[in-house]
Amino acid sequence: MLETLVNGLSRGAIYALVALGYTMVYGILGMINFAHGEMFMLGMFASAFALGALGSAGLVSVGLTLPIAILVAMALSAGFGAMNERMAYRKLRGAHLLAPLTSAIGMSIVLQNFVMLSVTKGKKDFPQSVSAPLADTRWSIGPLNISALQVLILGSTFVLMIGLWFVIQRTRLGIALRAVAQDRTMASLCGMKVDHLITWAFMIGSALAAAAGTMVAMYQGVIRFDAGYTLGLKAFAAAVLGGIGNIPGAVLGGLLIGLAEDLTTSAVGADWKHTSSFALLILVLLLRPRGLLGERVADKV
Amino acid sequence: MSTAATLRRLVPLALLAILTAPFLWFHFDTDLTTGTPLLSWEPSHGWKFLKVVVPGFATGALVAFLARLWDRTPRTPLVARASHEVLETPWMVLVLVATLSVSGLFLSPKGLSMGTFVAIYMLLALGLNVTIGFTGLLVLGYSAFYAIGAYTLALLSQAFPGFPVWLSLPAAFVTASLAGLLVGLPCLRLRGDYLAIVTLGFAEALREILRNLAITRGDKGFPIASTSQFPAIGPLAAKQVAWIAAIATLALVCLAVHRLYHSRTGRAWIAIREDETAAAMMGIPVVRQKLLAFAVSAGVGGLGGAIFAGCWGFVDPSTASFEQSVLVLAMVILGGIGSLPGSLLGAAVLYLVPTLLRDQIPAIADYRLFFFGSILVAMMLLRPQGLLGSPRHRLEMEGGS
Repeated sequence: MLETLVNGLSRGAIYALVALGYTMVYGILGMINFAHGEMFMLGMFASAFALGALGSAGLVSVGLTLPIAILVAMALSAGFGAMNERMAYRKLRGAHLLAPLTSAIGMSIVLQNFVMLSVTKGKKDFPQSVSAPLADTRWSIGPLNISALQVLILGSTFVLMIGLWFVIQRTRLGIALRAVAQDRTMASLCGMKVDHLITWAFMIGSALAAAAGTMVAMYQGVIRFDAGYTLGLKAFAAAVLGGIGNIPGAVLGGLLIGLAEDLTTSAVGADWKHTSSFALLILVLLLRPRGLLGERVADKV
Repeated sequence: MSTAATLRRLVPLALLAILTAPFLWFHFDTDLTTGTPLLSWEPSHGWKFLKVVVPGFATGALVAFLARLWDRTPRTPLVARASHEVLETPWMVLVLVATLSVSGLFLSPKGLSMGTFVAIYMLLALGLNVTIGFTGLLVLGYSAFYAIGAYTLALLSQAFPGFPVWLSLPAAFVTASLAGLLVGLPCLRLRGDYLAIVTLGFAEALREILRNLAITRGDKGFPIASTSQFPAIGPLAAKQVAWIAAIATLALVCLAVHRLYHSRTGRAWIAIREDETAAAMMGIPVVRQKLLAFAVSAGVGGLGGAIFAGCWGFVDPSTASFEQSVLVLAMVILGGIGSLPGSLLGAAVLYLVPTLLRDQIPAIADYRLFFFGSILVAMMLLRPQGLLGSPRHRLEMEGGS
């Protein structure tokens, strides 16, 4: 039971990290960034490339290469996020809801197939020399058996979230981002460079997703071009569950969906875990259409 | 333009080149003896990719340029008016159906099944257009209703051996409509994106259910007894019967959708799309009208699914896949949201072009989805109202800033 909880929490932590990107973009632009799942997938591949480059250069120590790989993945995905925003969304500000959504779906298909065509159609092994030592180190604390990898996932998620909280609450960038989320026109009248700030939001979200991607790649050992799709959907479900646009809500939603999946797996069977997360989402939306922590906003006339 | 400005324009391109470089030009692997991760210079993948993509994009740009020229002359309203005139005079539709049915008899079996698929996708595009185009409800899980229709026929053929396809079609319409009501009823309180994500979640959950339930036979798929497929009648082969049935259903649905759109109901839908709050103030029963749109749309999707199952003879959970939903959505958007002839055109183009290309140039089969996504993005950036969209829709899609 305790083990199910720990598994669920580490799975939920991943969902939460990805959900943050959805929620930040939604909070600012009011659009679903459908291509966000692909940032997660690009992060998986980018960290594999980085580990390969470091290995070729003769660096193999896990303690050194892993943080570098995660940072490279975050940087590359942030770049893709900014690129994506520039190419596919910027022209569509103020357009009908459907336009940026369609553009995002198109971008998601393009990125997925780009990786499929340029790297491989099948799955690729993530370098085992990094993940195996972490996955094999297991600690028993009382009845609880936890692997170093799970500790790493939970720990780094925690660190990244504290970092995000600090950026959002305490820095000039964060204050500006909150201002843009609150009222874009007013923020631009006050002299803020709204387009730059939106790009920043995309970059931060993509970097968090890439960090999550690296950790999932280590956890699963294989990476695929379509890995971002299901995960992106669930992370989006998590963001909606917690109340989209609300940052603590995304974290709560992610953890809840992760827990629900692992509880279903242990109670009914792994076949039903995907169904359970969507069932949970639909149920919550019916009871609280704005999500768990979302505020009830009056519709604008 | 000054040099600095030119250089500034090159920055995104340079960034793109840097970001994609590892994927295109390098290859990562693991040294099997030591387990060390390795990175090697491997440009063959990248060249292969660029060799297809660059000419593809060039063709796309050329087509876009030609479309612009074509657009200068006021021909687009002509197509819309022609289709309107045809649909206003039912005997013309009858003649059209008869001509198409007869001409289909001279097609090769392969051409015939392609034609049937075009008709099925046209049905789906018409159905989705009712929610997205007319009523402005974002449905991202349309394939769920398609799958419900297909599985209705499959399950009926299993429960009652020899169940005729002619009864399955209305049954599929009814079950899919009911499913639409069931999903719609709780969701219609939600707006815009929430509705999109709930319908998407519904389709995903349905696909998982189809995969896991014993009665739907899981991932292996469900072969349908030949007695429950389209039968051969007299001199007509089964495929020809399926083709005629598909064309006739399509014509019927076209007429129905056209009549609905120009009726009181259709006006109510448009009013809801334009401004839901104002529509409610004017006394339109918003929830009931939305539910009606949902049910009609879902029912047409189910009809498409049943025709598919009846002529293909095999269904599997991938009928409820997200790709299927996106394909139909792209058809509606490419043709022009809210435009009836647009949906038909979009369906024909997006089904025929990739299929024919795949047959002619097998090497680019893998690139189908890549170009497909690019078209979606390019369409939204350059021509959000679609090929045959009305100017009114164009204003709506581009919006005010």
